[in-house]
Amino acid sequence: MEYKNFVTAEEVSAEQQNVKTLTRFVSSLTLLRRVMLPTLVVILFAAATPPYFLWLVGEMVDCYGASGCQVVHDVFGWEIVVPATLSTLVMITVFAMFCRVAAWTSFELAGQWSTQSIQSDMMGSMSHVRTTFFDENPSGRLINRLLGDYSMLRLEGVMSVGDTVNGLAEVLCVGLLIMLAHPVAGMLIVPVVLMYVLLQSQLAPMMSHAREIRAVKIGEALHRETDLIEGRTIFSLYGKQQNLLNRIQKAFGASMNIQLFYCRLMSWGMLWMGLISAFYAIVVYGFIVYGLHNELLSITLAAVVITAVFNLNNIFFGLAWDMSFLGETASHARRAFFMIDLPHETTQESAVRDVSACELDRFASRELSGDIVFRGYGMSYRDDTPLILNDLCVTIPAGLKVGIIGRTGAGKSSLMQALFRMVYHQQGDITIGDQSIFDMDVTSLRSQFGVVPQDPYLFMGTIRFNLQGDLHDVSDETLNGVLRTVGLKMDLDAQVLEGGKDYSVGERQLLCLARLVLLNKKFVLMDEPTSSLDRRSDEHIQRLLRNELNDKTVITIAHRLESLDHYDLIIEMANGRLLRQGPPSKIIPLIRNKYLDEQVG
Amino acid sequence: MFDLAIFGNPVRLKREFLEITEVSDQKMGPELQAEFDHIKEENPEILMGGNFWWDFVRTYKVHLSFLTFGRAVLAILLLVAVLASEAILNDKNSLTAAFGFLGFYAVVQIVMKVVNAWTALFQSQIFVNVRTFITLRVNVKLLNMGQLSSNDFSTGNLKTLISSDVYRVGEFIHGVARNGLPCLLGLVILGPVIVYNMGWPGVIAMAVAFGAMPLSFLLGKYVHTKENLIKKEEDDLSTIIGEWVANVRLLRFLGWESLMRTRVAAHVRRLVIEATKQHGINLINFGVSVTWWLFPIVALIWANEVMGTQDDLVTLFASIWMLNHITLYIRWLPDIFISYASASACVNRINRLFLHRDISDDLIPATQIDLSLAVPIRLHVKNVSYCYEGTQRDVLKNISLVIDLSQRLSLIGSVGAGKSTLLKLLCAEMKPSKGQIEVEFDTGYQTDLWREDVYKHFRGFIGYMPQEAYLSNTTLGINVALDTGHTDSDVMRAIQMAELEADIGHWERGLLEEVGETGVNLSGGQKQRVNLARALYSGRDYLVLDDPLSAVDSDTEASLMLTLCEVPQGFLLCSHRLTELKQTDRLLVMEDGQIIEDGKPLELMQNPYSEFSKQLQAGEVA
Repeated sequence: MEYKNFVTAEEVSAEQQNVKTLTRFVSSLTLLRRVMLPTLVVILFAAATPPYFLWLVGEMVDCYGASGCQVVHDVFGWEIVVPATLSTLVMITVFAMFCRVAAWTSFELAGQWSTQSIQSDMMGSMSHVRTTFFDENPSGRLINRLLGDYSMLRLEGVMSVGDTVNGLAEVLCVGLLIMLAHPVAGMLIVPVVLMYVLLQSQLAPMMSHAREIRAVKIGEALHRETDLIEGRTIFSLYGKQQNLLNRIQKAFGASMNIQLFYCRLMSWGMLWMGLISAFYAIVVYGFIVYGLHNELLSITLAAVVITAVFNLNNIFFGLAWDMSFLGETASHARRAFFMIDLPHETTQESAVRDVSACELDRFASRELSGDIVFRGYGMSYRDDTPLILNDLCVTIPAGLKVGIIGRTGAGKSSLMQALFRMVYHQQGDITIGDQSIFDMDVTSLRSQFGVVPQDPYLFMGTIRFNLQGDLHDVSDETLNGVLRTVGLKMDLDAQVLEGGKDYSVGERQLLCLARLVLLNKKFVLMDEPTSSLDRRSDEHIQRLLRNELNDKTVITIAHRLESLDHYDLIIEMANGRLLRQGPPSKIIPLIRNKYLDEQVG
Repeated sequence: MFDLAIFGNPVRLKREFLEITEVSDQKMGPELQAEFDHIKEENPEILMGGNFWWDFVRTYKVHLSFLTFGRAVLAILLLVAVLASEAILNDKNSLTAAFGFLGFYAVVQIVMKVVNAWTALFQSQIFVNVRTFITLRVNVKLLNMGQLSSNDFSTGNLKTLISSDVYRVGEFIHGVARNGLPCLLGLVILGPVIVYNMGWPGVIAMAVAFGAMPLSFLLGKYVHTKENLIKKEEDDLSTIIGEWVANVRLLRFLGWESLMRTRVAAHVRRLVIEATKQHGINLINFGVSVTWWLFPIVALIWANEVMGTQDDLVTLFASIWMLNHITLYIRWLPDIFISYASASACVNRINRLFLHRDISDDLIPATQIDLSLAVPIRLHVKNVSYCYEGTQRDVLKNISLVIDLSQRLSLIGSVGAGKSTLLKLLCAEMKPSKGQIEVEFDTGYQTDLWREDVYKHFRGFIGYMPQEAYLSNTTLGINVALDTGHTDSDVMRAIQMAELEADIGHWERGLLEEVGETGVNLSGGQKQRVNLARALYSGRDYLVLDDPLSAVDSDTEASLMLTLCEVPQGFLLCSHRLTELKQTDRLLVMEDGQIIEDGKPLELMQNPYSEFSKQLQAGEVA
């Protein structure tokens, strides 16, 4: 009775989930779907040709020596004459080879090619998911989803499905062949397959679970091995070799242990599945004995059926093996679809303000102008955490240079992210020239601003790429011109390493400024770097503010008071609210005094 | 080895499965435990170092014989099944005889499945044993080695050695056991029967069965060479996606998401094109070798026709069944050859590692004196030069120096002056190329640092913090203590001293927080402070600190220096930042492998011509 509980209810429901996910996976492979019908035909041919070949061999040997030995097929009234000669056999062999290759390649290559759309859907979802989603999930895990799960789906995923289909076709053909010997024997393959499926449904979840554990354990063992390689001198200096060695052996032992257990599972499955196929083979043999004695069965057919039976175990086990990977494919697919199905970043906002789609279109290509006004605005980085900006009321007048100051955690950077709608909008509204930013399409809203980020990161690629971004048709003169404006001289086609490691922070900063000049937006947001800026960049920023950015609204999140002297307005924030605002001449001395007091105190 | 009961009892299998998922209390299976014990008994150094394959065969001769036996039994059982089937086809007249043969066949079938499952299990056992066999020996060897001078053994190479090289060797042996051995035994046991049945046509058919091998070998090679290309494409893609995920805000500020999507899609496309090519060739290879079994049959019939021999249908089919058994394994032979090529390269690398010198090779015979209570008080550096293996340039040039181990000593100098090298020599990480370092004990006894007992005693006396912070991918607590058996309060004290307490206050799990691979979850400054905490936790009497504060901000640096000057231990500190060094007792300035200045920092500061004061001024202006 314990045997009944061998598979838990959760495992059964997981299996049902798997079927759904796999169906979605296959139907999302567009190219494969298009070639599915011819592929299935080729798969059937590939499975059927070798048994036919054997049968022809039998016929040929049967009428050995007789000239004009031939086989006549009656296909729906059409008589097809196949000469039983050596050249026919060679042709059939080549045909079988062709079909086998075609069956696999058309399924798996088309499948692999189509998986590009899954990746692209994932990236698409990434580009409109909530920004805070990236804070909540470690980047390693996300990359693993976007790349690891994808590459499993790309190769192993498609293969597991393709091999299963091919295996099923082979089982079908063997069943049909045995049916020729005796219909009952042929029909018996159905319960045998059902028993396989039953056994498989017991084994597969355990196998894939064991594979998961194995991956974890091997990972742990590798961490410890890395300790040994990298930290060997440290461990030996502090006399902790033995502890390390014990930990390594424990981790490694665990990983090998699960590997052994996995093999045991496999052997166990191999035994029981083998016994099922052995039992079936014995039954088929019984029918053969019966058929031969009652002269219902020719020796040729008997020999061909026996050949199939000799191979039966391999076919069944191959099928079971392929099917055991379907569970994994399903779990990779489930993770990929989870990424694809993530809600759009504005879903949460619409709960605060209900915006209909037609309203969005109206403002799609409009360029905004006017004051930026925060009207009792509140936001948080998670839906369930306290507000970071709370009932913020502040106006940033058009065309002015505005510096925002405040301590760490006052909400300076949050202000910038709020303008870009990257956070959980909890209350109030933000308007730009009487237009609420929440009534706009996110992409067109974001395209209103030019930004200089705090960390001037450059992307892998050329300088040109980093400068021009998604702008098209920008001439080299224009690009070189903006570079000159910020005082840089660079080869546009020079390669940039990841993050711009091969350029100094100052150069990267200037490049970001050049991008700003090139874009020529009405609103400019600058996040000052916390570490001291090098003098050259500082001078260029001041000059740009005076000249190129003269008529723009410039909002600078300032970390140093010195750089704010030329500004029109200073806004000091505290605890997510406006503390005070005024011209620099009034505000800066106040703040200087306050900090001095604190230091003395 | 003969644990067959497992096959009969699925509930037991399930129970064991649930046990094995229990991470905390990992029970090792009896087979593996035996293997571990077996390895512990031997001296690992003796066993490896000669011919690996021979070592392997010698160690596992019992296992290998059992495996061969099992495979041979399978081939014989197949032969019996073929003969029984032949008899059934021939015995048309006597129903009793036919059913007798059927019964016989049934028994053979069932025995075959049992033997097959057992052999498969046994074979996996060997696969696991090979990996254990090599890995445990490599582990011990690595611990016995000091600093690795050879470029062959960079960290990356060693990681490959441990993870993929060992696996490949195991995989090759597994391949031989699974496919090579059955193929060979099939030929030896079934081959003569085929030849006896069919005569020369049988020989020809067997020869034709090997016909797909050259093509498979070539295609397999192609697939193998493509692997690096695909790996590179995958790496590129992962860099770009990594950039995306790490800079989401920036990308949204710039509105570059569609641009990045195009980039990613282009890379995915390139990857898929390469992968499709590779997989396509692979499938052609498989397709041809899977259907190749039809050709020997054609050859058999052709040869019969040409030679004018005539076989009855039953004999012909019996030969086909046996041929099929052999061809089933032939298609894996090219794989074995290809994997042999890479496995033997891996074995060479592993063997080279075993030939690498150990620390013990550098040690000189022990003194005859009991040093257990003696305390080192001074280090005498005598005409020491150091030159890295494979280079010509002396990094240290004839340095002579006496270091008082109760003082606070600081060391400065430009990049490449040889500071880190000197530090490593002083804490006996490396042995000087020329000259000597001697230890003076409070008993007045003075002798070479590299004497076996002095080395051990002195290494237990110092705490060394290397320039590159080392972090293990585990919890913070273990990183500080390097030990699973630490007490939290001691670790916390060290953490307080290293100014890390405020940092871990933000972490939910405190000392149990995972630091991630190479400490990715920590900032550069935090990593350094964890390393400092480790040195402080060790309670060693003298600390050698290689640029411990380069990545911490200036406030923390100042207070850490204060802490350091309060600890009772003497230390040797090497630094790029000069302002905090005023508090030390003595200061050395190094340039180009030599010590150019030596004195009290305050005195050096007051002397406007000293290198230290020059550098100090230059630093302040910048």
